[in-house]
Amino acid sequence: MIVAENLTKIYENGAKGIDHLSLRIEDGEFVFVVGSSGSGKTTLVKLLLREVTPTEGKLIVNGDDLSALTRGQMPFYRRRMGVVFQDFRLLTNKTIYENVAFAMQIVGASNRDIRRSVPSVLALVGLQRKAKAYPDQLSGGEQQRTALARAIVNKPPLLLADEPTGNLDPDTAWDIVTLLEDINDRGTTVVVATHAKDIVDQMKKRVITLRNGNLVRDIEKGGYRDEF
Amino acid sequence: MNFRSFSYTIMEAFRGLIKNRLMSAASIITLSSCLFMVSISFCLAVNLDYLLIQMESMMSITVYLEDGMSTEEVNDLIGRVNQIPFVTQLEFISSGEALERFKVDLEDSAHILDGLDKDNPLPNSLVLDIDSLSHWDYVENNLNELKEYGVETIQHGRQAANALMTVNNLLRVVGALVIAGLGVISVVIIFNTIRIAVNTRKTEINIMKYVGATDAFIRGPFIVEGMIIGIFGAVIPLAGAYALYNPVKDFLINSLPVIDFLFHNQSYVFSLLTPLLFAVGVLIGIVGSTISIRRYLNV
Repeated sequence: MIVAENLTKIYENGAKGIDHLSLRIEDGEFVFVVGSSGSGKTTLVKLLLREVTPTEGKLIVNGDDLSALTRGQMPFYRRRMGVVFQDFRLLTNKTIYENVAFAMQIVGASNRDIRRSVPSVLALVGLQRKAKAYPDQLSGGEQQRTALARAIVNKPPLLLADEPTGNLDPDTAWDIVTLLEDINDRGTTVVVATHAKDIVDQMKKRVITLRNGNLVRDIEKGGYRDEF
Repeated sequence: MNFRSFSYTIMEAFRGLIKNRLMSAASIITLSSCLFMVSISFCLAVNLDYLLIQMESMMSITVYLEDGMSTEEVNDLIGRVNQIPFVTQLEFISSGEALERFKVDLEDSAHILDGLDKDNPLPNSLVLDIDSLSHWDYVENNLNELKEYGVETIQHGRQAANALMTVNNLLRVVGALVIAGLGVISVVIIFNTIRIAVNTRKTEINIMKYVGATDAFIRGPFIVEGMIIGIFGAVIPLAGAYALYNPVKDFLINSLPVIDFLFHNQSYVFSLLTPLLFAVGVLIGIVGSTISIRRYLNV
């Protein structure tokens, strides 16, 4: 569950990223966060990742108050959250299998668990045959699916996707969104920050629209065009 | 840290070293050169110390006695000298004995003393050993008070000992400065090596942070990398210094026959130097890598 109350982020240069935002996302929801450039989407993602801290207000994620989180608690907070970026952020010197296994090694999983979980997650995203390939041998869609596999392999309750389809052609983008929906169906809360109008319109999920760091619209089963 | 994290750390460290092998080799060579200098300074210092100790025990005060003293007078003086504290040994050398010894010392040229047997110019003397250099002044003052009992002149090698002590202290200061300077250079070089290693793995560290890796988990391989550089950086100069120690020692003994002092043996010196060099090398490696990675952990 994500709860923001009067959440405000003002950067050191005075720029306002988020301005007194209040919202609530329940466990198991699928939510799109939309808005033009500078609307505060990226800041919200950064706040959720605890890459930046709130200037004012509260942000509570999975029961953790992010203002009170110490540096030592940060890794454990992030382990309960899967993240997917627009640029995939895969390790180019590791195979697809190793990229996914890596996320498990970091949390100290046993080799047995790794050998059991990684193939099943790769099967879930349809990459079981590409396990031994390296990222640059894969298409953009396949790379993003690898990133998705890495994000969910530790079974986090929350999946955060920042422009996950930004670098993909429309068909591939749909594959990814369908996968996100599958993951959501298995009980994971999914938050997707995106520009992809078509997808938002057709998915009929909850849409949170931001403008100048403010929440301007929050509609169940909404669409991108509802924004204006 | 559990075993899995531990084996991951070690494997990643070796992977990092091999991947940046050129820089790794460069820092090992630099560190080796620095630690080689440290080794030489160390060998020099322990042997100079040893030399001083030997000099202390070898150096003695020679007291020349007035001519024409009777046996009773000589015995009386010996009794008085014996009562001076810190005198560990006392030997009476008669003028005849002194001449014999002089002849032995001169070896082939002894014939120049031939005419002196009947008119021996050498005085009777007492040779005193003193337990420590620090008590010389005390003993000398006491001997000066015995002038009326037949002490004529007092001769000693204390200036030589003092000079050696000064040289030794100076060498220590210079050695410490050189070692400190080299230490700083080594830290900087290792810092740069690890920084390059860290930089090439910036993306990896970034991803690790997002997936929830702890700082210790990320730092581990780099620290171990620094430690491995430190260990290699210590082994090479140790091996070099070990191989050179005895030949240099023999060379010094043979080329400077006047110096009849003992050197510490190889195994003694290296039983001290080995742990020292490993500790210094590993410490430099850890410090260098800790500094270089700190900046990248703030994501």
